Amino acid sequence: MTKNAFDFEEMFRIQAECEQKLAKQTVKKTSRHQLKSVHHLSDRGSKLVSHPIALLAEYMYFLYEKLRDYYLSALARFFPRNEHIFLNSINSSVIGRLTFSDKKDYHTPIHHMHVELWAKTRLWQWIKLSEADTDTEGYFELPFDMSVIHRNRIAKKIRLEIYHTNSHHFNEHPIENTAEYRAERLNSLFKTIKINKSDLTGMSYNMGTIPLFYWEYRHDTALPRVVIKDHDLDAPQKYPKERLDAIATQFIPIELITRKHLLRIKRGKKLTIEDIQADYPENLTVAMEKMKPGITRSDQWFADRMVNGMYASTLDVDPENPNFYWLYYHWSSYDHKPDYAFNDISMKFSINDKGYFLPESITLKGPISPGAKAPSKITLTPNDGQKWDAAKRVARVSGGILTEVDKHFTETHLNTEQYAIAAYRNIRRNPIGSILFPHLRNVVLINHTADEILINESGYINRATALTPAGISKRVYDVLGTLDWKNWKPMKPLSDKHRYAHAANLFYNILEDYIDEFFVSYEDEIVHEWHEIYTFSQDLVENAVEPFLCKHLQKELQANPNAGKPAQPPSWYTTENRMDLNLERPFVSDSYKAVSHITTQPDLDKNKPEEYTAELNALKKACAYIIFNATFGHYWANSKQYDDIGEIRYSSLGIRLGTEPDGVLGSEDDDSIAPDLTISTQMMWWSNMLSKTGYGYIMRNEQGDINPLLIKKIKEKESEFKALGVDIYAIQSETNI
Amino acid sequence: MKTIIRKPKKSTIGRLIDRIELFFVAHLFGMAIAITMGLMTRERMSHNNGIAAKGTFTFDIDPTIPTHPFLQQGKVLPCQVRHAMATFYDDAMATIRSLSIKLSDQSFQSPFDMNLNTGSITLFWNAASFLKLAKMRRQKWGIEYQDYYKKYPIGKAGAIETLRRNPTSFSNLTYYSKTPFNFIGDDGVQRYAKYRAIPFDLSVKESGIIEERDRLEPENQRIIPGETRNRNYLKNELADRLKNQPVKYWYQIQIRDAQENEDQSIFNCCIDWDENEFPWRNLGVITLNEVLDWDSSNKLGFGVVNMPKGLGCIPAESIYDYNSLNYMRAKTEIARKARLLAYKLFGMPKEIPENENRNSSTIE
Ligand code: HEM
Ligand SMILES: [Fe+2]
Repeated sequence: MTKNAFDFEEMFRIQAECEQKLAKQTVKKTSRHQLKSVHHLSDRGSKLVSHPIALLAEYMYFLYEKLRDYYLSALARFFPRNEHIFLNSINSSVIGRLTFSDKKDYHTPIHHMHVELWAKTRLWQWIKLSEADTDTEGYFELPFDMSVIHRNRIAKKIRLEIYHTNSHHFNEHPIENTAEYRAERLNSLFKTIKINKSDLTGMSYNMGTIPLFYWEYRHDTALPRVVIKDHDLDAPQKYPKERLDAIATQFIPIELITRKHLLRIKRGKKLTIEDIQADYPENLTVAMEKMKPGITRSDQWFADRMVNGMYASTLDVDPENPNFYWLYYHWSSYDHKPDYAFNDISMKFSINDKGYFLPESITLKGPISPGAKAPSKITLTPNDGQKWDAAKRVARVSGGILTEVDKHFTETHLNTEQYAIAAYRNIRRNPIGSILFPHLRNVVLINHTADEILINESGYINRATALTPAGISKRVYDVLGTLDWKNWKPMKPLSDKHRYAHAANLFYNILEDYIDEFFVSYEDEIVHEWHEIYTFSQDLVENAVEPFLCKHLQKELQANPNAGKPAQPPSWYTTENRMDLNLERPFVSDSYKAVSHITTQPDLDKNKPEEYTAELNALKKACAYIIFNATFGHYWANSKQYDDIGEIRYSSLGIRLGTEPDGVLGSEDDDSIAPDLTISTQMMWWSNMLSKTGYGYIMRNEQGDINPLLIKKIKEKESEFKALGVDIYAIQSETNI
Repeated sequence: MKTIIRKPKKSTIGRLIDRIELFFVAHLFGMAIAITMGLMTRERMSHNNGIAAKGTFTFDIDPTIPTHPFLQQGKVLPCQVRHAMATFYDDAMATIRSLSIKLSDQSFQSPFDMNLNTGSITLFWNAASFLKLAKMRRQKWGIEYQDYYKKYPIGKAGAIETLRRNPTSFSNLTYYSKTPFNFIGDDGVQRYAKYRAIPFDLSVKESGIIEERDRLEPENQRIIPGETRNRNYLKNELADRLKNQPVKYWYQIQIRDAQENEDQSIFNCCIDWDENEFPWRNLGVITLNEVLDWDSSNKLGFGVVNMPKGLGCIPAESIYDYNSLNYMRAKTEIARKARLLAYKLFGMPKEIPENENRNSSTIE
């Protein structure tokens, strides 16, 4: 296809028209099926409840839950908990210490946990005896009045209640005439421990060290991951019901289509890729093709998707000619299966005088046809006709798996998890919890599910792509090793048509602005609770992976962060949206760590103004980075999956060498290259599931814990976002799918 | 979080129940000790390993002490004491040491008895906690109270304060009553008093205070490996000493005025009274001249009930009341009687042999 087959303006008009049409397309759940929970999803058949008896049982259970909730709320109404502390004189105390409970972690104190001492009377009333927070070493002391519990023999049961902080509530009304929104820490009950009343004989009663199974790091992986043994029992967080409902209504119809296909395949009935495609809702490329055939296979579309689509790639300048840009995919050192096209790819782009991107060449290294003798290397250009189109397809597929594994899963999901674990383990009193938690919520849950249905041996990636589980796991480890908050900046726009980069900067600037303002209001409290930031940083860095720079760049840039070798990269190397190679990485327990310390100071001293400001600024930057990835970064990669991998022949996550002599450079309708039928329908399952089951948006603020200031600031830029093709109402507040 | 302080009210019935509970708990405990220890094993509840001596008590009263009919300047009374160790028949173990005083030459009848132990505080603070301690003793081979110490750090602190390891002599230790008693003198003013005995020679340094090893692990009262002192070394030391010279102690008192709405913690025997505000003042001098034999030492019995009018126990309201300790002690009187009865029925206990049965809680 030639360079000027389509006018860019026309192409974007068609895109906008199709996007509008697709936005109105909704799937309605018409069947009786119910989904048990998110972790019961599977592309080989989710655990749905459909048998009438099972449905009845579910319904009975639902009734039971309702009844129980009603009973509990009635109890609470009749016997309200009075938050006042009953006290005449303090003559006794309950003391103890909270620590984590993992074998490597049991000595680590859990600081600032809120604990309360309650008595339940024989008349079922609750009496609050005392409350306190654990200190920095995890110790607590709950002074109380013994005579209250022994008064008239009234107390029946005594219990220690341990509360954790994982959410905040915002007071929408300006306080003291300033327009700031105050965050109120919401504590929720984590555990209760009964205390034998007769043990309370006066003076102090020591409950000893109480190990809590709380946000423990896994040891079975080198990645910073949280332990979830049983999703339903000991996960540190829980999906809200609304989120499950959202998935059930939006996704069950899709699930049923996949099931129908899988059944047909199993029974050996006739089914084609085209049949499969037609059964699912239209995606962007299908819709555009209907309006103008060939449009999505054009060079213009290819280049635009590479920089502004799901891929949102980071390009480097050509060291020899600054008018050209390069994009590299390097796969060869990651374990993969031989029957897939899994080339190392170098793509060259140019930017035209209007600022639009165009592909110049695509180089494929490695086998492109069955039985080919390695090593092979082929460079194709727009003059190569059908083979050029095929090369673009290979690049799209390669970019698809790269975006899924590197950007979506590692850069947003896993990256956010490492901050989430460290934050939930450490931040309780510090107000920065209020700006972080709404965006860190539930990421560990979805990651746990992703392990099982996407990443593991039986997961989709192993079944549908070239990567083996070993390959995925090394790749993920390496990519996580390239990520750090320090000195991070969003991607630099290469032209005014670089919409992704503009939108990313717009969003990031709002975040910086918001965080600055937040820090002005909360500086004293943030500094006062600096210990939490200190331990947050300790946990974060200690559990981080080793830094990574590929061999090629180590040589080119004369740098190796994993050997304490920083360097100033040459000008062709893009530094935005990448790890700062000028920094030396922290060295902890005999290895270098990818993530930089947010602070190494246990306390901040106002009398050392330079250090004081530097540390506070570091925290601001880290917050902006964390929120950016968990929200905008994830939203971008996630929501565009259906656009860019929602048409089986256009792109998928794995493409095979096929059986024809041209191999992977054969035509689009060669079924020996395309994913097989099972993988095809499962691919549609995935892209629908990931892009179309929305819950948790910043502007909707479903859980009411997002700072209204952030919402206000984004709203102010609504039209600027719109001009860049971003609907602010679609930006997710959490990485939860 | 909002905190409102509200006064818990106690109804009249509530108070009555408290007292009834205290009454039953104290009597049942006394009975239990009387049967299981006094009758069945012919033993004291504690402090079985001891040696008694006799001599005189000479009043030498600090003039600032409010007058009381019993306290007569210069008067000399007969005096018997018993030095003992709590619960183990082995002087070389880390144990509490005691000095019990009886101002009479009878084995029980006396106008004034006082039990004193080493250390100024205790392992327990009210009847409820004393019962916890008893319940959680779990003694095995000289190791006891581990769980109690874990749950009640003040109890552990009390143990560290009161245990003595290998003192050179009973005569250089300081002994405290710990629990306060009434002191209502000639002026009728309600006061409270604590007592102690210290070596007559004020320059003598107390021996046997436990060191690092025992402080870390007060539950392990066993003799130190390679111990050369024998099971009776401390009693022998006192007997030898008294062959050559008398042993003398100052008997002292600490007094404070009662206050309206008294802060109950002043009755807490785990909390010392400030010595500057309430200085120790001399009451008299104990002079010991000769030891008593094993049998007469065993026949001695001391009771908190043996006190002159106005100097007795402070009333207690419940098992959580700090003063419930003395109330309960008073109700163990029956245990002493049971022990004496058992001597009559089954004969006197044997003297502790000087053998290698170490760390033992039985004579043989
Ligand atoms: C709190 C301060 C206390 C002190 C300083 C103290 C001290 C002593 C001493 C020194 C002895 C040994 C007497 C002797 O040598 O014959 C003794 C024995 C005894 N104590 Fe305590 N004691 C205290 C509390 C209690 C309590 C709370 C009870 C319990 C109810 C108790 C029950 C007894 C009994 C039953 C004996 C053995 C009496 C006998 O058989 O002669 N004591 N105490
Ligand atoms: Fe996602």
